Amino acid sequence: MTLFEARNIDRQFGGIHAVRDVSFSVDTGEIFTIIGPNGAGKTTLFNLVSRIYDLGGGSLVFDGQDISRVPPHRVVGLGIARTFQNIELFENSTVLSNLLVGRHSRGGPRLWQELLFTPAARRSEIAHRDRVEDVIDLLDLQEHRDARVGGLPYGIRKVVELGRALAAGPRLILLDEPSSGLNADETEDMSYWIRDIRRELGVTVLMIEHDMALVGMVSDRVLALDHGEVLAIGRPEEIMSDAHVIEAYLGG
Amino acid sequence: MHVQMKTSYDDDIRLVRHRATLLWYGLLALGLLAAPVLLGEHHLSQLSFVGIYAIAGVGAMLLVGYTGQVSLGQAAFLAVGAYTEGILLKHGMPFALSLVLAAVVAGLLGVVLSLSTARLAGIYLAIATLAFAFIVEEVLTRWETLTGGSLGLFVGRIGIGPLVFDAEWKFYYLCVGLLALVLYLAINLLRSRTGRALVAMRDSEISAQSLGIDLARYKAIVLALSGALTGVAGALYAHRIQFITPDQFTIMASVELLVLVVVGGLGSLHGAVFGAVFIVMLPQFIGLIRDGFGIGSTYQAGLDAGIYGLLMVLFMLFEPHGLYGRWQKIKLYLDIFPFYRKATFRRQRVFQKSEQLR
Repeated sequence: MTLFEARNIDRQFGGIHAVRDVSFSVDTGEIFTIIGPNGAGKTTLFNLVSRIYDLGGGSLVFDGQDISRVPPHRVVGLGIARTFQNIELFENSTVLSNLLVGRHSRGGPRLWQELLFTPAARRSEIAHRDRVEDVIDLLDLQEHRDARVGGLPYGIRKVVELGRALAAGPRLILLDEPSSGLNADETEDMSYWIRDIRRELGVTVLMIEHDMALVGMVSDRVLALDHGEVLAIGRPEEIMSDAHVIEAYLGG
Repeated sequence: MHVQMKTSYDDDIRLVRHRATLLWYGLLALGLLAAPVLLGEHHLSQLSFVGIYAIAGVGAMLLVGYTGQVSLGQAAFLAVGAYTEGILLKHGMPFALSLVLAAVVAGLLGVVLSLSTARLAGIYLAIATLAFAFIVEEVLTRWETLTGGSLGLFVGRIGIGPLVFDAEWKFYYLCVGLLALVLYLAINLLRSRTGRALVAMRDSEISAQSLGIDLARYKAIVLALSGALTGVAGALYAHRIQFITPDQFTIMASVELLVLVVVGGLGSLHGAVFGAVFIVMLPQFIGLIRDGFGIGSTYQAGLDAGIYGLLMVLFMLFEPHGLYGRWQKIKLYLDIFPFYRKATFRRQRVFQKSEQLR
């Protein structure tokens, strides 16, 4: 069953055609990876999907609903959460409050209830905390719970950002280079977590990744992008042996 | 060191986390309650001023310290609060109502400001708020039928029913009581969803947005709250000095509030109170310098502005966490003596910052 579909999406910046008539669909429960050399338009594609950029053409369909014109802050409420290539955490807050911000889209008390911290506000806080603790358990972040994010090692911060997206309780998660900046061990951990979040939480994964070992290990299907255009879509081993893809990567 | 055993999620959101904290704040409350007996009229009135500045400071802190929206227009809220209070009181409105309305009018002005500056950030926002403050100042000067123009407006005494605030100590209790209320509301806000959303906007607008935070809406909320609190402070200020003119609410008043939050410590409510104490004591300090160096009062204005500027720069350079940050360091030093290292608080540089969308 198709969960997400991009139909002929297109975007130009000035004279640069960053994403050109790209179509693909992601099935429920799939791990779908986008690969491509630097400047291929992968991150632009992500920013189009999460509605940070407006589409130049085409449409986005999530769960049967056209989301092409949904404002960016509404996207997560529909069930699409994302991470960023270079980590965009709230550096001065603790891991716990970062994860709690992840719960923002899941509602909360009214402003006056917060100002007076009524019993309803307290219940809401504790309910959200409960969900966040599930994420902390899943990702083994217990020991960092009260640590300020800015002081944590890069690898941990990467996991915290994954956790923050998961805290939103998404059905589709967009991971922008989950392994960038990680060492081999951390990358391996990341591959387990990516499979865990699909298996245990039933979250569909759409990710951008450079590390071909990781791509091969976790992906069900791979899309190769170059110069904003789709080169090929298929199973990882097919893509990695595709002549066009090899040419794009090695330079032709 | 305090090591705390937590047994429920409530432990992380309760107001008082350690018994010792309760003791210290209890002593502080007792001291503040006993102040009218212990202090003379002059010092008591200085304390009232601290209360007023701290209320405005909390307003500025929410906006600048927690949400990262630098405002050079806080004087406008102060002025609108003061004038609303003065004008309503002149028309015979009871104080309890006029104070609420002063907050509401200043808060609404904050919403208007947020609508017109929704897409601005950083220095551009600061300039827009500065322009906004000039507009408000100009309107107050020109609208003579309502405000009395540059001739000023007399603001009467406060009375709630039979209770008239005619003595210094009564006004003092009013200021301190309101400050306590304001701090309570601010703490509550900051430990809930909205407070986290504000901090999120400060640290990364892009990911705040991707997590469902409607930036325009929360900017409006924080400007409304900041405006309302500053409006309350303005109303109290009007009563304090009993005679208001537009030239009391110039850019210097905005700068004063900015100095307050920076020197107090950005991103902490303690900082707002510490900053208020500092700002109220500063004129005395400047007076000492003036007398010490034999500078005539002709140069007073230049001296004030110069010292504010110098203080901002010095704090930014040497103690970005302000007086509260310094206080925390001293506390930690004593807590873990003799294990304090110079590097304990050294700021770690973060090289990984998104270049994607700037």
